[in-house]
Amino acid sequence: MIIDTAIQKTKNTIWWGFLLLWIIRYVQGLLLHQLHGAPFVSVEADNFFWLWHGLQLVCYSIENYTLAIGLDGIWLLLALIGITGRSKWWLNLIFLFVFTNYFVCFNSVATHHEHTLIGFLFLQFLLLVYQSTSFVLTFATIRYYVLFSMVNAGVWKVWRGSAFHYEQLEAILKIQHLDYLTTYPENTYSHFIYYLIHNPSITASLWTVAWGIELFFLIGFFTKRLDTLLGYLFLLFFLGDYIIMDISFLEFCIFAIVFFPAKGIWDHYNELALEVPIHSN
Amino acid sequence: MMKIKKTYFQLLYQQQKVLLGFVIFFIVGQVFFSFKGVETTPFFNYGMYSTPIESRSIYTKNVLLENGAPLSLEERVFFPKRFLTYQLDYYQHLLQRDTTDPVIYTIQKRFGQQSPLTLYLTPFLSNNTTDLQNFIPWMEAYMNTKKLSIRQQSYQLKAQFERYDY
Repeated sequence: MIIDTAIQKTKNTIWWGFLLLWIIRYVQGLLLHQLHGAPFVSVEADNFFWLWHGLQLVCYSIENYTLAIGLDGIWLLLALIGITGRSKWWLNLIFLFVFTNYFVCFNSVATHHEHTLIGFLFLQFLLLVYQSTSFVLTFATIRYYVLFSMVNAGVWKVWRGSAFHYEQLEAILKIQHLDYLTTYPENTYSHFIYYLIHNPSITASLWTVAWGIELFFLIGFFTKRLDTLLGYLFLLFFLGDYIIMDISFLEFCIFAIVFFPAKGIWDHYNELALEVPIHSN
Repeated sequence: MMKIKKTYFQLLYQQQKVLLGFVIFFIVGQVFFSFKGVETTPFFNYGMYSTPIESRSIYTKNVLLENGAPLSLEERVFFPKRFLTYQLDYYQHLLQRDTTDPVIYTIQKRFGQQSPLTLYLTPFLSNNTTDLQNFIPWMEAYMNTKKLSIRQQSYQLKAQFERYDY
């Protein structure tokens, strides 16, 4: 059936995402065993983090090198099994624990709770759903969450006032690129950034476009017809974030999957939605 | 015969009440934590750069030194620049607070100054002077370098950023 193939395809894409994430994090030295002995933790006001630390899960994962190697190994192994399509529900449950543990451990020792891994954090729940109707409804729910995350970012900017603050992007560029600009003052990219900094009308326009795009995702709550456009805007937005602001949200881009669904997902959703017949006169 | 299209919530109500329960719980939680202005996983607020930032001409950054010479994180390919910047900033943040982790006050405020829960949680949730002393050796091992130190350096923006000494 088309829907079964669509589910398998979606799960496969997510597993590939987890494998790539593991490789990227390994190359960067950010897996648990590579963070072994990291001295600082920051739990901020996150109650979930408090609970996880209180259960001593972070403490053991960071301080016990063998355990850290084991947890990183399980992540890699389960992702590989997932790609082959042979994963079982209980293996996925173990994976849910291993990745959630990584999410808390990494953000704690980084001392800054980043949002980049949230896409994987939410999408891993799809791996636990096997029944086609449940899968499609969970997929639709996550799509609404992605729309919410974008609109939420735009609304915060309007609410707190940075959206209409003329100097906002100019100030962000100075903060974000200070290290680069002082290390490579003469290279082409530095000239590009200096050009933006010294032309506030351009940075103000770019800033308006940025939060305008975020708010534009509101339309996705009313129709799915623009999803392809939203998907490209989503990727373009984070590409712009990286090129202009040096903010890497590469991992968050896994969320784009909800705007480019496998064929059959929305067909099944529409079948469910159009189930009730009513008699006309 | 005509067909009407059910809404997302109608569908959840008819097909997946457990998921509907999760969604309602999530919406309530999200509204609550947004109102409080804090994050608790999985209720995230995407408020990055939503507070107006004044553009200045002088900026200060934490500079990493190896044998007294500046070591830029930008020069290292595939290096977790952001992660290490957070570490340097947090190190300075603790030093400026006289090595006392501010989260200790939050724990005491939530659970009482000397309660068993406070005494149990404090070592797991906070950093102490030993962690601060371990930071430089850990950074040296992590970056595979020796004789690291950190200092703050200011820069003034003219046509370009220039070193600024008070």
